[in-house]
Amino acid sequence: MTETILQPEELNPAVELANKILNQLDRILLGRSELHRLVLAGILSRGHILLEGLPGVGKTALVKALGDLLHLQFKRVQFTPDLMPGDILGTHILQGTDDGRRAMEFHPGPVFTNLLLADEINRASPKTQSALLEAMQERAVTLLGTTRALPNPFFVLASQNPIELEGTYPLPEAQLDRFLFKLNVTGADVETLDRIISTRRRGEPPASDFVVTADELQRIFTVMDRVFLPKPVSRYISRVVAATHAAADEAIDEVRSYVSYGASPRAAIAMAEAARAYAMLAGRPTVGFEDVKTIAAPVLNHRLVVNYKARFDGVDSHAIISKLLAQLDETGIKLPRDVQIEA
Amino acid sequence: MNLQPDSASHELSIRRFARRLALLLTLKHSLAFIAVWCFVWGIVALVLRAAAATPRKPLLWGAIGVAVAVIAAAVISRRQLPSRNSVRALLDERNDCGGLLMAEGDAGIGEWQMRMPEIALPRLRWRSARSLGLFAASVAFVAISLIVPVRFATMNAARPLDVSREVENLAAQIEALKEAQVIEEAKAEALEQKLDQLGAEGSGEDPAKTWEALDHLADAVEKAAKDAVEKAVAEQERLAGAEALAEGLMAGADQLDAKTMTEAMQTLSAMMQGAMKENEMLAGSLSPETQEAIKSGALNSEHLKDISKALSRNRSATGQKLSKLAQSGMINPSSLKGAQANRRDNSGLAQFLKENAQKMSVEEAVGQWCENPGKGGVDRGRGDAAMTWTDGSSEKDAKFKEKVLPPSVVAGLNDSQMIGLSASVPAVDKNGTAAHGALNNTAAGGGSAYTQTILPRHKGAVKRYFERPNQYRER
Repeated sequence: MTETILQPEELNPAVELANKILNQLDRILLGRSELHRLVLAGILSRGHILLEGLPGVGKTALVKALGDLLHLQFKRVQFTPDLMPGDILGTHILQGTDDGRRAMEFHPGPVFTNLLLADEINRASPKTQSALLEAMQERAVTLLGTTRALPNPFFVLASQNPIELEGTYPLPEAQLDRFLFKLNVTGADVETLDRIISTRRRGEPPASDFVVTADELQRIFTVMDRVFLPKPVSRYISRVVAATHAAADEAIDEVRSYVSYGASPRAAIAMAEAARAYAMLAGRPTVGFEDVKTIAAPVLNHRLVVNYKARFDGVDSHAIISKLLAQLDETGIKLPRDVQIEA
Repeated sequence: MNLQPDSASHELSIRRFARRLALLLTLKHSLAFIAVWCFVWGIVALVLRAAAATPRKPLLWGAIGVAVAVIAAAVISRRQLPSRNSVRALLDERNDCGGLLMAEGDAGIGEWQMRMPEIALPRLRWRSARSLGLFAASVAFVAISLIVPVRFATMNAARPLDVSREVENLAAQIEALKEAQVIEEAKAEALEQKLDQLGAEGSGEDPAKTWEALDHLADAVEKAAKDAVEKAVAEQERLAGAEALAEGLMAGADQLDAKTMTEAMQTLSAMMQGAMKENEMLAGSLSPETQEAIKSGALNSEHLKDISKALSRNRSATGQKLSKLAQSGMINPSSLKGAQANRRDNSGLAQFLKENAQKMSVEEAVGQWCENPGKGGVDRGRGDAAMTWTDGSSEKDAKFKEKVLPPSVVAGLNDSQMIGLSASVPAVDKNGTAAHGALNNTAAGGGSAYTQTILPRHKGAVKRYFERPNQYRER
């Protein structure tokens, strides 16, 4: 044996810390436990998250609460059609120096932060949206030939509204692919609503009584990087991503019928990282198939380009992914049709 | 939670599940392969039994194929068996190990070993109804192929030729020949053996051969019967003279002088001696005294009576024998007429001998007395002699001479239309002109009358020609 997986004493402090964050999130935003778990998994995977939901469902509140909890530098940009790239990335301003000369001085934009909330990102022009491409992928900004690194960690948590699409600019596929997760934020149920209006005046969430420092967060990242990904699981991830392409051997009928373009290799990387984070949140040192299944939909749903036939038949990417996960055997064991392995 | 102390039990579980799966796959493939082999085996067995009447024992060697099928199934099952990592992943997934069991195969899991749940092996389910049904059907098929009697399976003996009626008829004819002592016992047995062989081996595959052999046998039997008839007729003719002389001498011995009488007795003795040499039955029917008298030539009236009776019995026996042959269909009943000729009245023979004593010997006279009354015709025998036709008249010059018509005439005949038929050959004038009727005083335009074209407007005239009374038409 060449290596040993994370032992309980190594894993447990990170898990406890992560669970504290989750508990705080659950306390601040009611009835969103699963969403909080996925968001935190995304953060621990050092990925960017796109939140989609109707106005007032708590997208912005979630990101703000996360920013408070993680004790990271947090900035918010409200994307509008007249927003310019310089408004995000920063700009050079002619300034007088001490010696009386004038020089162009760089004033960093809001992107120079740890946690950037890009609110209603689809309302900005493509030009402005594209300004985020390098920042999200390279975690650096290049202006006038000078590349400036962004703070570490750097996360973009964007939100967009699926309605009122007039005057909006849908995110291009290239930018969508840079988001680790696309999470749908749905409305709250009766119980949750009752708890909100009965416990909170004007809906204001309680202040967080717990903060995670940058060092603590870094320790969690370190532990998470050691979560073991078994070969069968990595194989399963590869097969799932490959099967999203219509030409793949294991592609199911729905994929062949409805998917124009499948997920990219970046999706496979994202799945592996997200599955690691999810396993750690579950207190396990190894990734299991169930972790992959849990994070598959948030990772893949915005990466599948469905065709007009899917829209005509009312089939969305979530349905296709669900079918794919249901039909694709995790272990890849191929047995004759009349032989089955029962639980 | 029931905890496992080490990874050994996990390895054991993995091996156990893999073994179960291998066994199940081997069983499944074995049934399929054995089913296919059994069908092939059964078909081969049926073909061999039908075509070559192969016995069962050699066909049982086909059971070796079952072992080969099982080995092949085991090999294929081994190839289909998932890898150990896959089995490990399966057990991990089914036992909610969260990847720990999988990690155990690649890395040390340390304290996590104690937190792993007990590994329960998943159940394997095989929907075997179809495979078992196919297997049962194939085994039944091969069993039936081996058990079914050869007579149902053989193809070469499936169509025997039914010649029983012909064989029966021939057997009856051979029996009749044997009873009539026409053929020897050994020859009759040889014929019967051949006949039995034909009846048993007559094949529908080559009926011509069987029929040919039967025809050959029938010809042999028929020939024997014909020979018997000819021999009987010849013998009867020979004995007819002796019988006539014996009866004639009994009836009118007193009319003959001593010399003629002595000559007649000597002639009769000589005839009987010759007949006794050829006909043992005749010799047996004569008394020893008569036989002695025949040898010495000293016959008296008693001897004559004995001779007459013996000849009469011999004739009767021969007649009965031939009648049997005729009843068996071997000889034409009409051919018996010579042998069964009506008994002649020989009372006038003595008078005939007396009248011709000076002209011919007794033997010649008897011969003339017994022969046919004549060849027929006013100058060829007596009035009761049958007419005898000798050479038939020749057909030479009695037929129309065949002649090849020139092509133009043939073409003209093809276009012609028959409107009548004369009772005889129409008269044609040498000049080619018609002599009567509408054609009177007309001359052919050229060439012969046969080639002259008759126009449609002349059709009525020609028709009227053929409708004229015969006296005008015939010359």
